[in-house]
Amino acid sequence: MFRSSRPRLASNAAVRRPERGQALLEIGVLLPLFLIIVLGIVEVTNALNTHITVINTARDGARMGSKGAATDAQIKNMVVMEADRLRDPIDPVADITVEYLTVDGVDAVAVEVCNEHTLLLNVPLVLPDTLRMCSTTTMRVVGS
Amino acid sequence: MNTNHQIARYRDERGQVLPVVALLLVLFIGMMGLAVDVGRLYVARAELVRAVDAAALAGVLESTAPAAQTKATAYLEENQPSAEVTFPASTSESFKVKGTRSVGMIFMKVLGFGAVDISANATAGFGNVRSDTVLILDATSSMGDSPCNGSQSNSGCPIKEAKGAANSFIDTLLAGSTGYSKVGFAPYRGCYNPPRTNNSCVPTSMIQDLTTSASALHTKVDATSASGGTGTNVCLGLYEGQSMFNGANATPGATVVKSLVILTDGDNHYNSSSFGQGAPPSECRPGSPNSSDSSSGCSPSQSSERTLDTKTVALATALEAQGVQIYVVAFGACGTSNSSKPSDPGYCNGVGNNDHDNAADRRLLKCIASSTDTTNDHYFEVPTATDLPAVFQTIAKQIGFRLTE
Repeated sequence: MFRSSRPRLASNAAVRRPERGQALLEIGVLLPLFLIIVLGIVEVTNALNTHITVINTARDGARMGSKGAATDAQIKNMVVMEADRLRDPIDPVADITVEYLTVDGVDAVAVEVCNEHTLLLNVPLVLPDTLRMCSTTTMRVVGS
Repeated sequence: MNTNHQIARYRDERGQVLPVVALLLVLFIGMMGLAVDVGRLYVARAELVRAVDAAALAGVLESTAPAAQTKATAYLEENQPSAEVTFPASTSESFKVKGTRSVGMIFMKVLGFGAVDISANATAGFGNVRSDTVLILDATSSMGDSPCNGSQSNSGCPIKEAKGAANSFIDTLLAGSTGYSKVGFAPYRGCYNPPRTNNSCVPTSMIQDLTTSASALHTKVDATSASGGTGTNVCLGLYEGQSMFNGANATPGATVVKSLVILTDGDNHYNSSSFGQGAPPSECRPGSPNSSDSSSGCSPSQSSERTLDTKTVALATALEAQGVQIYVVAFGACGTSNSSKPSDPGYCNGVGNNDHDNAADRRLLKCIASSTDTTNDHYFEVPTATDLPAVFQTIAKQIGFRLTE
């Protein structure tokens, strides 16, 4: 009885403690990694969402311009209103350019929309605070 | 035995953590990859959609299929250089564009998706948008002069070509619209009969108020002839158009697309014989009844004509203020072509103020057109009569065509 209980204690101490430590270490390393991955997914998806909004507003701005009747101010106003859902507001002066040009011999309007997208994560020195995204759509001016 | 069991149990537990962690890690990285790659696909699709939209819009304005495809390809490349373009079968009332693009994957390569093909379609054609369009045609003597060789029905004669162009313009606008579009038609000279009792004035047999009936319009177009003696009053043509937009047949509602297309082969010439009974309304009548302007071409004008030019611009501005887009077809305008635009500083202020120089006709016509800032997109110069049908087709499509899908 005596002989048999000592080795059990010894084996408990020798085997269990390092194992418990290993599991803790694994969790300690992996949890932050998982967290980074999850937050990364959220961050990337959020940025892509902003990008798609920028593309779509530039498209709608160009479509409005291609109808031929809108002034630059009206186009910019529409883009600003449509991009309202973005966290970072679009500035009609600094972020939107409306330009009339000639593409393949016919009048066209090019609308560029930019957005200073603020990242959700604030990691100084690792991630930038903001990401500037731009998109240009060029459409033929068709009137009506 | 007890000891061995316990050790074995601990060994089992240690063995469980690593596979689970490894599996989770693969799963999480896979999820991130999916999120990134699928997100990139959405971005690529948004870019492709706007590119085919632009391509369909650019192409639908062309009158022939090859020209439409050239323009569509150019605009697709302008917006999305890495996309391929194909053209599904189009009808005469619509133009279809399909864009496809291969998007390279970053993370999904691991799962066997090296690249994913995306595609987007766009159709431009007549949408169900209500539109009122008034066509104002120059019917002064110059439209029936050379090269008519004595008959206004000879091929190449300006009035014949203009009437043909008007008829196909009407067909294009009304055929595809299924009742949503109305067209009105009126020629102009220097007066209308009534109110002025003069056989040289435009009679009512040539005028058709806004209607959905193409045949009613064709009757009036076919009855139109060119005749001189009363002057050329562009302003009066606009005034007749305005009365149609304000008339009982106009489509009510704020969303109606209102367009006025005016064809002119010259600038205003005021004929003093138009004064007196049934004279043009004050909006389109110069102050002094004694000053006449019978000169043609680019020769210097008298003050009556300059006043009329100013009044023409004022009426065009009033029309635009009530939502009417004015398209101007300048047929054989005198002087030399130039690149001046209404948005050039002081350009339109020069109407009526300066001497009637070489550029005056174009200045007036460009300034009454509702062109977008810094362009002349509502102003069309046509050097020869046989080019009129193509230009009218382009305008009809500008008015009627829009993205439908």
